[in-house]
Amino acid sequence: MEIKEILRGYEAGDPQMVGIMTMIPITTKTPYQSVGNVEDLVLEKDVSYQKLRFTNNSEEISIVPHGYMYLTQKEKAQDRTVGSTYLVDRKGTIEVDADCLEPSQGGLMRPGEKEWSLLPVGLKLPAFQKHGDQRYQSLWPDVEKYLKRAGLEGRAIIEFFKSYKDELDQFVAQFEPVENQVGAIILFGDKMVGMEVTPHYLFWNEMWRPIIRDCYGSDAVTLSKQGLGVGYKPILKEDVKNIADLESQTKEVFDKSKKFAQTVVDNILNEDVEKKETQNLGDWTLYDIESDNIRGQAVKHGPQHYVYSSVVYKGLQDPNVFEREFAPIWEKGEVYKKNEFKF
Amino acid sequence: MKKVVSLNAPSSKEQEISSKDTTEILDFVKSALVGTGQKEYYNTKEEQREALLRVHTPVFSKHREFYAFLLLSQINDLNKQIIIYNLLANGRNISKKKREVENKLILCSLNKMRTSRAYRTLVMLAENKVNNSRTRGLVETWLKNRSNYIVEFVKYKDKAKRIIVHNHIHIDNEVWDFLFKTKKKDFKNQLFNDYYEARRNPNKLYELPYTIAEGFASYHNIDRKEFLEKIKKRMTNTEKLSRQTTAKRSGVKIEADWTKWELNRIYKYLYSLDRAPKTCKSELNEIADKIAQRIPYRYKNSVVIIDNSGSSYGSNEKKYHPISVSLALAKIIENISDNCKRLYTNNPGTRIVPKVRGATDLATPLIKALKHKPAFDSVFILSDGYENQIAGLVEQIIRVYKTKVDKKDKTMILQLSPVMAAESHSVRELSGQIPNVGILNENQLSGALLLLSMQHNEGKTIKQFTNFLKKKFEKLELNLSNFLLEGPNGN
Repeated sequence: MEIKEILRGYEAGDPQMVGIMTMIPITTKTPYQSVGNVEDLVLEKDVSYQKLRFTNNSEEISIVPHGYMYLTQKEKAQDRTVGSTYLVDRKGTIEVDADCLEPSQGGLMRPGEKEWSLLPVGLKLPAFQKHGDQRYQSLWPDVEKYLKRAGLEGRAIIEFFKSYKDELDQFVAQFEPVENQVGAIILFGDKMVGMEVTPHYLFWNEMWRPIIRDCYGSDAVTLSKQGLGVGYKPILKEDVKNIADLESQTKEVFDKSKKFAQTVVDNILNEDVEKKETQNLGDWTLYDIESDNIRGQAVKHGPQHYVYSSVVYKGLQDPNVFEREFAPIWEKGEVYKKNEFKF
Repeated sequence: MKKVVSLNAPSSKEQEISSKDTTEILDFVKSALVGTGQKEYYNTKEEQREALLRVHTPVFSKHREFYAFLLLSQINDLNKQIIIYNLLANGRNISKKKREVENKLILCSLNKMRTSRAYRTLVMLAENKVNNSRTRGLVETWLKNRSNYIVEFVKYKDKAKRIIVHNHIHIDNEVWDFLFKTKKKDFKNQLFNDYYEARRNPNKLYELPYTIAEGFASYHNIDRKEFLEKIKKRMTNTEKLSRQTTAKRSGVKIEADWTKWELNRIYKYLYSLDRAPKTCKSELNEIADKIAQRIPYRYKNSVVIIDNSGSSYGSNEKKYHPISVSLALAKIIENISDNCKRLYTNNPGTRIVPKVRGATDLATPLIKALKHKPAFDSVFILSDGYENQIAGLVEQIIRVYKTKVDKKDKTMILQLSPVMAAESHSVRELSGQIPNVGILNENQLSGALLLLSMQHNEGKTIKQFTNFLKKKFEKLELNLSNFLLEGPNGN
């Protein structure tokens, strides 16, 4: 199937473009409500460093999002991530494989409701690849590489979030969820780097900040620290005589930006993907999907309707990908003044 | 504020305002409008306060008269507190006439401040050992002319004691006994008796004014809900309004006259309702009109662009704050303009308060405003500056508009931001080519418009503003004896 099968029935909103990142909202007027919220998932037991047990407190099936992450600053326990999506039955429990993100900290988490987040998008691909290998330390080398790219040392991802807290807070303030939004396609420059779809508005609202700030924002910050990912700035031409000319140019910027986003996205969405069923729960099916350029997962309800997806671009692992020249309609330049955070 | 940095004594002659001075004055007024000394995103409290003191120095040193007149402006009370301190701590070498003017300004300013701030100001003088006869005379006059001083002395007992001792103020024996002695007798003033009773008997605290009773409720560990239910009949309307959130959280209903609120708070209140009261529109107009009468600026044809994107919701701690401030400002600007149009970044819906949702596309309403016929002479952009459809586009539009279309600069474009940027202690600029200012509530609009016009046409506006404040001063009325103007020894 083509990746765009996942988006059947959804619509794209107007792109929001700030610096290196573009967020294209995925919207629907008919969200799928019969899925529990992310907040309905509660840690029942931290079984071991590589196993977590969740309870679903909802009357509906719930979904453990890919990259679900605990950063346990308030308790002496290992930070963990879940490198796969899972379906959890109504009022049910599930034991999932987990990976450690904090080599220097031992200890298991106390059960109960906790603050959660999502893994940076640059670590999602290794998390997909190494999930279920029964080695809780598998992601340590990847985290170390990730931190190095951001100019940091060590193998604990919490160091990234501590060091770049301010930049990430600024980052998440740039974008805004729109009405009827249930997902987003994210671009860095002229590359589609990820696609996230959730079942309904509340689910998306719960995922908003973790997705924009912790997941994609982290990589936007990392790219800037590497000196990659030049910021975009719409430039209006000087050959303007009157306000009508100015209006026409502004409209052209909007039109071109939409077309640009669509072109980038179409290149990926038309790709054929291999689909492999990994879990089913009644009418619900979880698939692993993969193509030359992307890897991810999707949840389908019934024969046709996809209600959840998390897909990432494989090229994120290769920072050289972002050294390419960008589309000629944009000028390279800084969006912000020197004393402000730069993308 | 425990310790204040001492300043250079001001020169005896007022200096002419040069263009360099204009920058200093601009920086000062900008920070005095919104600088609260509270902990901001990046700065500690101490850093904030030191920064505020630093910006006072140049203006006070060189333009004492203008500096003193700022007590009549809308800079916030913390900065007025600092001005009062500077004037009283450095009162030598100024003429008797100037001193009289300053005394009047100081007394008026203390009267208009929140009571807690006024007492804090006088304590600050004591802590910094400002001990001249002029200050003692002023403080005594102010204290003794407080209509509600008994209640204030009970509420601010420790502060009152400090002020009285430092300034050698003679007071009534009974008041002295209440403040300085352990209760040994029945007082003539029943409030003093109730105060001591409430300490021993928690049921008695409900006979005290709300502000005093609150302290005792905490002392006796009384449940918040129980306390509010029993005390609400003794609350003033202002107290009822300011405790709405606490009451709601505690599950207590406290009826209050919402029309007495600040305009931005009324808008927040409207967001909390399913349906606005029927008389809402006319009452909002009336309130805005009253505020508009205090503002010395008028515009002919203006347009207000309101950012009602998702970010204007604010945060969970301050729900609807940015949009409410914007709506309040828009309402007042409509009242100080002959003609005013309103535009939004997103479809506002049909309710009296616009929906808050969606991305921030400021470019589209800006173009709409700029191509309007007849042309607007003022464009007010009420936005936090976080533009994302598309970031940087407004800057481009303004750049090209000003260089290619409006070469004679007939259209004034201004940005007022209802929030401070997360990454700096200032407004997030939409464009470096337009004046911008942060504004916390509509009471600061005059000061904000002054700042904006200073950035648009410096120098001339400072003179206009000074003249405006002087005229305001002439209309001041103080029902006090002549004693206050001279001081006890004519100092």
